[in-house]
Amino acid sequence: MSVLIPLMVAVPLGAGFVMALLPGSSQRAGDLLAVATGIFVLAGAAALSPFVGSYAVGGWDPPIGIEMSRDGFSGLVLVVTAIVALAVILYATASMRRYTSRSRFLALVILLLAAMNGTLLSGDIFNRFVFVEIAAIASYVLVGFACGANELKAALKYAVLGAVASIATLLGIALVYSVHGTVNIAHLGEKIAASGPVMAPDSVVFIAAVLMLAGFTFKAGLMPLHVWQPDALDAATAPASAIISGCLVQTIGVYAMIRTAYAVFGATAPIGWIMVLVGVLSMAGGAIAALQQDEWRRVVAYTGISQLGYVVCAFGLGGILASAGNDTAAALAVIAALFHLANHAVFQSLLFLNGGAVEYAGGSNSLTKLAGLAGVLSSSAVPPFGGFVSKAMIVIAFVMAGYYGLAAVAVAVAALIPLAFWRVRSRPEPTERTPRTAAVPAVMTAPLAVLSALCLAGGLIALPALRSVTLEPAGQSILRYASPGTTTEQGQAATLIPSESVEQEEPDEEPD
Amino acid sequence: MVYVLCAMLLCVGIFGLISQKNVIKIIISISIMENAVNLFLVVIGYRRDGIAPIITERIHESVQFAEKAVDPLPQAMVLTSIVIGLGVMALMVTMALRIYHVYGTYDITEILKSRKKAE
Repeated sequence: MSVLIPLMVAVPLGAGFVMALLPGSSQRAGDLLAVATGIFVLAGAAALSPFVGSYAVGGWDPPIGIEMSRDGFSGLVLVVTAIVALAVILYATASMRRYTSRSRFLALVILLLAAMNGTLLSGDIFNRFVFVEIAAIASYVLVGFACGANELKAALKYAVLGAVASIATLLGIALVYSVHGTVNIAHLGEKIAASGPVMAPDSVVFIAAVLMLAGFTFKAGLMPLHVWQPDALDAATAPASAIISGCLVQTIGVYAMIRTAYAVFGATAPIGWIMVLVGVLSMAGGAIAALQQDEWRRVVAYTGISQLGYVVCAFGLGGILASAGNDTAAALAVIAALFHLANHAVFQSLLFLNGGAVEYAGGSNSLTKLAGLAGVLSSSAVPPFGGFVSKAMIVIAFVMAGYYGLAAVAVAVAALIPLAFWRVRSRPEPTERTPRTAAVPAVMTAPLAVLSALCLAGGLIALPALRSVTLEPAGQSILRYASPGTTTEQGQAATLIPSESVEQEEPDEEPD
Repeated sequence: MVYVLCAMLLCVGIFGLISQKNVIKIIISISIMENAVNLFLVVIGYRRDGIAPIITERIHESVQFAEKAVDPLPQAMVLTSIVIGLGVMALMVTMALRIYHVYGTYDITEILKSRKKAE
C-alpha cells in the first residue's frame, strides 16, 4: 500500500509532462489523459484512506532519506483536493475549447495536482518547500494563461510577490536547519520539543517560525498578505480560479501552515496567537472588503479569504487550547476547522466554475442558477448547507473555549457575507465579454451538479458515523504534536491581542 | 563574516525590490535575495579545514572523518533551490517580455495604473 504514496505524485507528474509535449492536433488525447489522471488520483486517495504510514524514497530511511507519509490530515485534504481537481479537469475539457491549446492548460492543472499531492504527502520541510514551489510556478502560469493585459499584470504581481514569500520560507527552513540539523518533520518536531517547553520570542527558531508562517500566509492568500489573490482570481479563467481558490490556497497555504505550526513547532501559544491574529484579520477584513466589491468574482475571492480566516483562526485557537491542556475544546476547534476547510474547497470551486459557466453561456439557465444558489448559500452559512454546519461548529468551539469575543466576531462576519453576495446578486449575468449564447455542455454541468450536491450534503460529515472516519483521525493526527504544559508565553501573547478573550485563561496552568 | 555578507545581500535585494520601478530590475532584486539565502545555506554546511564528505582510502579514521567532513545536505538543498530559482526567474522574465509587448513599458507603476481591458 505504501507504494501508492509516491505514485500519487509520480503519475500526475509524468502525465503532465506527456501532455505538455502532445502536438496541437491531439487535443482529444490530452483530455482523456487528464481525466484518466484525475480519476487515478481520486481512486488513489480513496484507496489510501485506511492507510497510515510512510514511504522512504530511494530506500533511505528517515531522518536521512526523503520521507513521504500519509496520516489522517493529509489523507482528508488529499481526497478533497482530488474531488475538486477532477471536477475542474472535466469542466476545463469543455470550457477551455475557446482557447488554442487546451491540453497545455490541462497539463498545468495536472502538474499543479502532482505538486499539491507532493505537498500533502512529503515528510520533510525542504521537500515540501520544493513541491510548494512547483505548485506555485504552475499557478503563476495558470493565472497568466490567456496572456491578455489583465492576466499578465495579475500573474506578474503574483509571481514577484510569490518569489519573495518563497525566499522567506526558504530562509526559515535554513534557520531551522542551522539550529537543529534536520529537515525531517517528525525528527525536527521531536528536537524542537526537546529543546525546551516554549520557544522564546527572540530565539532563532521563533524567527524561523514567523518567516515560514509568513510565507505560507502569503500562499494561502490570508489577509495581511492577500494582495495577489483577488486580482489573480479575477483575471484567471474560471477553471484556473476554481482550482486556485478551491485547492491551491488550502494545500500549499493552509495545510503547509498547519503542518508547520503543529508538527514542527508544536503549536505553542505564541504561534497559536499569530494564527488567531491572521485568522481574525482575514475573517473580518475579507468580509468587509467583499462588501465594497462590485464584481462577482472579486466578491467570491474576498469571501473566500474570509472563510479561510475562520479556518486558520480555529486552528490557532486549537493550538493555544492544546498547549493549555484543554484537550476536548482543542479537539473541537481543530475538527471544526478541518470541516470548514473541506466545505470551503467545495463551495469556492463551485462558485468560480458556476460563474464561468454563466459567462460561457452568455446568461444563466435554471441549472447554473441553482448551482450558484447552492454555493452562495453554503458560503453564507444558511442552515441545511455544509458551510453552515462547519461555521456553527467553529463558533461553538470558540464559545466552549470561553473566547466570547472571537465568537462574536465570527457571528458578525458570518452575517456580512450574505450581504456581500446580495449586493452583486445579478452580477454573473451581464457579460459583454461573451455576448453570444451557447448551450453549456454536459461535461461542464455535471461537475457543477456534483459540487452543488456536495455543498448540500457537506453537513452530513458532522454525523458521528462519518465524522469518525474522516474528521476525527485528521484532528488526532494534528493534535498529536501539540504539546501540553507550554503556557509561559500567555502573558506575552496577551499583549498581542487586546481583546476580552484573554481574561478567560485557566488560572491553574503550570509550566513544567 | 560571510553571514554579514548574506545579510547585506538580502538587504540590497529588499532595497532594490522596494525602490526600483523597472520590472527587470525588480526581478534582478529578487535574484539577489535568492542568492543571499542560497549563500546562507552553503555557509551553514561550511567547516574550517573541512574535507569532502566521501570516504576514500586516504581516510582510515572514522572519528577524524566525522570531525572534519562538511555537511553535504545544505549543498544538495542549495542545488535544488538554485534550480527552482532559475525556473521562477525564466518565467518572470518571460512574463515581463509579454507585458512589454502589451503595455509598451517596463515601469511597474504605469503598468499597475493602466486599466487596459483587452489587447
